[in-house]
Amino acid sequence: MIQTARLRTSVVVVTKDRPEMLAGLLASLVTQSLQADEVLVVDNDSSRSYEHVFEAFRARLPLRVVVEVTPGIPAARNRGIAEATGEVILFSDDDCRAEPGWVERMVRPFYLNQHIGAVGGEILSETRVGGLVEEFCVAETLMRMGRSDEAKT
Amino acid sequence: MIIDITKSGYRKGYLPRHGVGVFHPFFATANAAFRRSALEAVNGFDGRCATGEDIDLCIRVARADYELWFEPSAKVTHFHRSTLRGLLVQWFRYGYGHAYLFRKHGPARRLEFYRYDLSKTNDSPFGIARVLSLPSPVPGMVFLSSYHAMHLGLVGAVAAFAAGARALGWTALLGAAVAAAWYFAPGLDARHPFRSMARSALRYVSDGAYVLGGLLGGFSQGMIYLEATRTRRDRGATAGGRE
Repeated sequence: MIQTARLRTSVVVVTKDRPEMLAGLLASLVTQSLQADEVLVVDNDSSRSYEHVFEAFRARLPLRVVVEVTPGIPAARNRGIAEATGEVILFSDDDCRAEPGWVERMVRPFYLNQHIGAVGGEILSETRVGGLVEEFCVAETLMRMGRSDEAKT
Repeated sequence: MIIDITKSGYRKGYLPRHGVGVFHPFFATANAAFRRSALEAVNGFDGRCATGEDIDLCIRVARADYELWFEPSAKVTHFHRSTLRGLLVQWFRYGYGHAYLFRKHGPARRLEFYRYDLSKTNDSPFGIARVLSLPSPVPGMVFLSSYHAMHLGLVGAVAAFAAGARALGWTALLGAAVAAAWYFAPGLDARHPFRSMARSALRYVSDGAYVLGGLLGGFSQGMIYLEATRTRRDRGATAGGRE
């Protein structure tokens, strides 16, 4: 059955003590082809201040912030679900960056069939500082994809 | 450098709504979306998950009769951890969390044996097959892999030599050597000997952290849990399917 009513979207992100990383994700949400109706940040009781980050994005994103004091990602995400107002809830992490078509492409399948309960996208991996451990993660990934020749070069 | 990290084993569209044991199609929450009604139907995330809460959620969403759709055009970039300590802690936590998942979703009074099966006839998620399922007062999972065979052979050899059974000791040692060759050889590269050895060493220690996490997680759940270590022959996506 094709669903025609517009689906309201919420992006829920849990963060703790990584304001700089979160700023990178929020920046990638500003430039989306389809803007989310709500960006809900769940602060899992950080000891560092995010105020400068939130100030920088409040005018550019439909940003809401809640604090969840129960430690752990499941509790924080459940708080996000409870607070979010969207029919479709998108999750990402503060150490990620969304490509510009992300929200639009993640939401589109939900219109196809109302029995679709979950949609997952591709996760790419970016190295940041170089070094053997990052190189190892990349090589392992290539091997798993059957592209071992690239992994060896 | 940007490369695909996880979902190479999935194709665009509907994913199977069943798994083998707890090896089940799932979406990492770094890039996943859920319909609110599906989240409400399963009561959201399970707070008892140390890790793998995304696997657990997808298992329950699928069992609640919702479809899972993989959309590779929706991309998110993730930064890798760059310290050895971070890598080991992460793999330890994966192992620890998976044991709880098996306790929750696996059979209650059975000990099950799994292995990788990359033959074309096996269409289970991540190329994993159940080999054997035995009634057992202590439940759990044993993943049959060269990593475990290598260590079993070494322990067996030490025990046999200590007991004076030299022929048995040499046999066990030979078995350990064959398993070690199976485990390490695919990762070694004569053109880059040191680099490939360093990578193999990293794989060995991160598998070690994974296995240790699984064992301790298993003990905490009153079961035996011997993790699915990663091998080069693995067709599976998502780090042997479970990252």
